[in-house]
Amino acid sequence: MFRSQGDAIVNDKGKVLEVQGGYDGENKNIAIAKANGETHQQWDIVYADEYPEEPKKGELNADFGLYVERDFYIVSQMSANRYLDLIGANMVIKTPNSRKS
Amino acid sequence: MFRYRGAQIVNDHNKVLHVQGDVDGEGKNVMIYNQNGKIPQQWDVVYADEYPDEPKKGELNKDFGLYVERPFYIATAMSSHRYIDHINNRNMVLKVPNGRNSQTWYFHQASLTIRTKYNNQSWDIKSSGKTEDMQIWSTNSGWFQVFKYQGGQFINIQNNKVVEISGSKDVEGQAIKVHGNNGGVNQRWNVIYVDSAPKQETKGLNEEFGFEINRPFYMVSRLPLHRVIEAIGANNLVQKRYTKGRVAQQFFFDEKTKTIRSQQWKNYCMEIQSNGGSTNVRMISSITSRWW
Repeated sequence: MFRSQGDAIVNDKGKVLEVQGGYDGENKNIAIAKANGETHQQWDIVYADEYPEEPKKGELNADFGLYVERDFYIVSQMSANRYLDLIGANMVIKTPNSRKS
Repeated sequence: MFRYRGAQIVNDHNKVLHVQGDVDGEGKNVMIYNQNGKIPQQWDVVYADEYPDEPKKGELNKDFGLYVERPFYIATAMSSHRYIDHINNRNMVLKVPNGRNSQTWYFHQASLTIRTKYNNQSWDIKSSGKTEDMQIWSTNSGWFQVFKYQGGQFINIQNNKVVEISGSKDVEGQAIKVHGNNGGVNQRWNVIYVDSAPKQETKGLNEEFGFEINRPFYMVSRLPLHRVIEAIGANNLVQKRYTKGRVAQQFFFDEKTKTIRSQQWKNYCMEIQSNGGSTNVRMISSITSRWW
């Protein structure tokens, strides 16, 4: 049996649910472990009817600071204000050149 | 030859009928003995045509303070109001109400014992009363199986010890024992007859468990991407990116069993694998409401 206590999900022996391995990866296993208060043992219970809508195309994702699927350039703040570009797979800075890269 | 004088049955040599060993047990031998005036030598003569009928099913047995064969729960008077339960088909413990018939008891008139609806075995002080541990056991009506309910306590009819929560620890799975009567709240119990028990809540917050009853929820990690727990094929649990409308990512709290259930596979609850012996958490369909 499990209880929602503060930011943890705790069983009768005082152990808590955690993301195994401690890092934020897709499909990471859920396990039970001694409580250590770290983020991978912290959970929010969000009721399905209150789960916030994810931002749609053109809307700001406030967590990530970017608009969804709205094209942008990334401009260096160094003196030439070059753009982030790609040569092959490598990221470089280049003067604006209207290319999709 | 015997005469009935006062409360004693006396022979011509002034010896009296006596329950051997002074123990009120089923099948105990009756013998002749020197008078000492104690209860094992005291008798009422009741003429057969005046012998009172025993209470029938549904009637109160006043001596034992319980209705005959009317199922009941037993809730501690301590703050949790947990119920007396038994685990491993044997040991009596304290557990939150979970709807299992191991928490349902009844008074059995023929044996004068309290029995579990789980398998009809009786309350029993382990080792024929030589210990203080409570268990369920095959009915034999030994004194160590007979208790009366009086003043909110379950009192053994022979040694007058009362049923209590061991160590006054009002926690899940705590052992039930007998102990000398000290009037403690851990020795007081409320009998709740099933037919008059309050209806089970179907919504609202269960304050002890911290979940709203039957209301689907996500368990959202606070790691950077706020992934949610998802049940994979009604078995393993992993974290995955939230996907709108994917019910395998939704869970609900079941008030009856006090478990977290899958919204997609509603007969599955969250548990620690290998009866709590593993670190892996998964969904399982055999719901026992045990600590794991």
